[in-house]
Amino acid sequence: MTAGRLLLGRALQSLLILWLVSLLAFALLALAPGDPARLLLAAAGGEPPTPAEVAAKRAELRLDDPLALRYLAWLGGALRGDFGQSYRSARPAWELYAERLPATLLLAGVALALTLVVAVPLGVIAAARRGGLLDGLLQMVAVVGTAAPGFWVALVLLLVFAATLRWLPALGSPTPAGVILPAVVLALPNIAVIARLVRASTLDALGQAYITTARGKGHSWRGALLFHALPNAMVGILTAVALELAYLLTGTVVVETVFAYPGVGRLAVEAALVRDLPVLTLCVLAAAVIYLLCNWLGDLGMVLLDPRIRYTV
Amino acid sequence: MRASLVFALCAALLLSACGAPAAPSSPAAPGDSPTAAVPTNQPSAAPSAGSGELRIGTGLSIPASLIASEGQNGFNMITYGAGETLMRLTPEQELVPWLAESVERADPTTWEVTLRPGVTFHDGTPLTARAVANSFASSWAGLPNAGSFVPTDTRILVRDELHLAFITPEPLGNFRYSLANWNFVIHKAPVNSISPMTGPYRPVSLVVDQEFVLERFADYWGGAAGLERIRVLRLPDANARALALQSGDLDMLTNVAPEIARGLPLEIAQVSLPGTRLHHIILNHTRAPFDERAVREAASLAIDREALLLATLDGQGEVAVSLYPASLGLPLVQAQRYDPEQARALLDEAGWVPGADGVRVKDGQRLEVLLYSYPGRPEITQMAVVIQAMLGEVGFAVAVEEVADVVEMAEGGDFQATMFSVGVQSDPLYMPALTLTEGGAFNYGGYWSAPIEALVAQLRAEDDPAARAELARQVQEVVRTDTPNIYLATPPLITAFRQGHVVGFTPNPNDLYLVTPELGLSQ
Repeated sequence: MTAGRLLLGRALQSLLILWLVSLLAFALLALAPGDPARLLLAAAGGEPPTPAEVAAKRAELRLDDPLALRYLAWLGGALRGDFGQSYRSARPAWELYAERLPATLLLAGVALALTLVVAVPLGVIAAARRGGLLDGLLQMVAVVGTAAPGFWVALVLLLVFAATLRWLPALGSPTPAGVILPAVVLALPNIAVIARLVRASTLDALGQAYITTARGKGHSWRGALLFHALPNAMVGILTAVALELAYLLTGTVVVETVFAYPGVGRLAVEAALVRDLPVLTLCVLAAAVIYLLCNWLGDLGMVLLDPRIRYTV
Repeated sequence: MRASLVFALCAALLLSACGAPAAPSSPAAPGDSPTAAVPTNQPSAAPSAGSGELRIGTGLSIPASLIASEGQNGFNMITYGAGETLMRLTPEQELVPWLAESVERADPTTWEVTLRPGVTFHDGTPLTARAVANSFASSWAGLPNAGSFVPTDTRILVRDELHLAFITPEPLGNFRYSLANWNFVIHKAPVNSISPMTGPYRPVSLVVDQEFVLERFADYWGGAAGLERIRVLRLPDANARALALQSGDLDMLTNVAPEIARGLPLEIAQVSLPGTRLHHIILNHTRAPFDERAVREAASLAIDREALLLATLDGQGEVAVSLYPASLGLPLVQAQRYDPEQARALLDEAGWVPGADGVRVKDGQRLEVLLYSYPGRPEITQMAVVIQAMLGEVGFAVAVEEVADVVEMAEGGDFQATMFSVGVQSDPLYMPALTLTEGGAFNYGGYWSAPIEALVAQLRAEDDPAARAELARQVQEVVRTDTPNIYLATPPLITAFRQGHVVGFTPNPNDLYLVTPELGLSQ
């Protein structure tokens, strides 16, 4: 199989996945209980809408058309880059998404950088001092980091660093100060996971014959660890990091809501609350695209880093 | 080792945060004065000279656009000081002219309106009778509900620059109240997607669901307003909103939940007063057991509303004795009260006898009720659960079920009883017309009463305030004898702000009037 055919196959597979995701997202969101017209009217405040108001809104949004027709109309538009108009603001859904995406990219980027800067050294040190105090602490932090709910961690950090110490703003924003707390909350569970992965991969690498060879050639233990064990260990965690990136880009819902951070996660929540189907469907579809892209990036990184995989391909 | 230290420090900080003592409670302790307005920690500083930016945090909706004749934007425009109506309600819920100088009834269907001179729109043009007529036409065209307050076939005659007449198709006794309705916020056609209005602040930008920004309108007819700028931030998480106020990222919070208010520190001032909303139970008169008057009355008598308020709203707000919240200022009739002994006696008399398990039975039918609730306001389902226990004491077997869309369920008509909440307008016609008359928008229980229909018809035509108050009293008498629904409580309207920082705040039970020109920041 040539590389070209392989890439073509992956591309077709991705398109199939995206189509299935779009179909499922559209159908599930459309069939979910609750009338988008009523929710939209109710969300505007004031009194519950009257049946006449709801009927008028349903007609305006063409919600009474058969589902298959609505999906085909949406799909046709999506193929031309038109994902429909937000029910709420009457603006193109894509425009709303694109407006919020840079803020989420920044947040995910900072959180990923924080994750790698903390987790990789932590994992390596824990591996190097296996069974020591730091290793034990890491295990504990890993358990706490993954077990503590994000919203609780967020509120604790807000209470300490915003309300009590007043070092950082309570409201998230795509600014140096405004991104710190949301990024820390997002990074904490990832730090725990990645640090444990780095530790395990490094320990595995340290047990390999090439480390013995390196030491035999006169490398110091630290040199063997940093220049031989770590690069090999990184290959193993690359896929995990790529998936973490996907998680960071798509899993910001809770953090963005608590910190009122203006990203796509909050956009999705706001859209879900009023059943703004065009925006919500786009958010789901974009999440699928992000996962596919990150998977690809992970695969590509492994191919670049590991010659054995390259040769196999 | 350094890494260990950093971790230890972080852990200590987190632990200290978790173990921090609860902030002292600012509002009155539960039970202190549950039926009275509870203003606490009122600001003492004098109003400012008029500078600075006020940052308001809210969990409620902000406008979906800056066009006044779309959706419920008009409500937000008045709330945040951008829009005004011809009439308005004072904090005492007295109806007074606002952009109108006077509104007089010339004959049963003709209302002569004189406009306040010297009023300017945000685009610099003067407020004229023609502009008001155009504004009404725009509201009727854009807002489906506007016609239910002032009919769309009302004719508007422009007499001259400042005088116009409204000729309604039939006598409308509540016409003045309708002129205070947010549907009729006075506006002009949008320029750059922003409707020019007449309020002390003009809208300048909006990020949907996030931020609404207004700036002081220099030519406001009432003089310069107290702030240069207002930023309204919609923050979905209630705890995060409170922490943002404490951190200084916000200056003011609206609609604070009692459980959040309880945890605010002393440097945060709070004003709590009963609002104009009414939580109640809609009874279905076409289904057993509430098609029986004795069962309806017994259910109402079995509910201890004081205890309900304490259990679910920290004792803040006000218990309901009738279909009008006390904050409206109407004379109230004690139409509903707590008397479990009488409830039992009524049920005994009606043939509902206690069964072996304590649940009453009549003709083989158990006194079982499914009470619906919904998650829109957190205290609603809490109230339903407390009511379940209270009704159980007199022999009802109540099951509580939460539905996502209570209106959809109620419109289907297939229910026995459901929790419901209505933001009541000060017009005494509003509640009976909407909830108790045939075809009333919220009369989901199919209630019908000849006296109520007649009283509502009279209320529609009558405009004399004293006569209307008397009619409202008679409506309450019918409610007392017939128990069409069970009225529970008015939740509190709690506003919190930084002590001594925000000045000139005038609490109003009607949250339509949050921002006034006097609102400012301490220098």
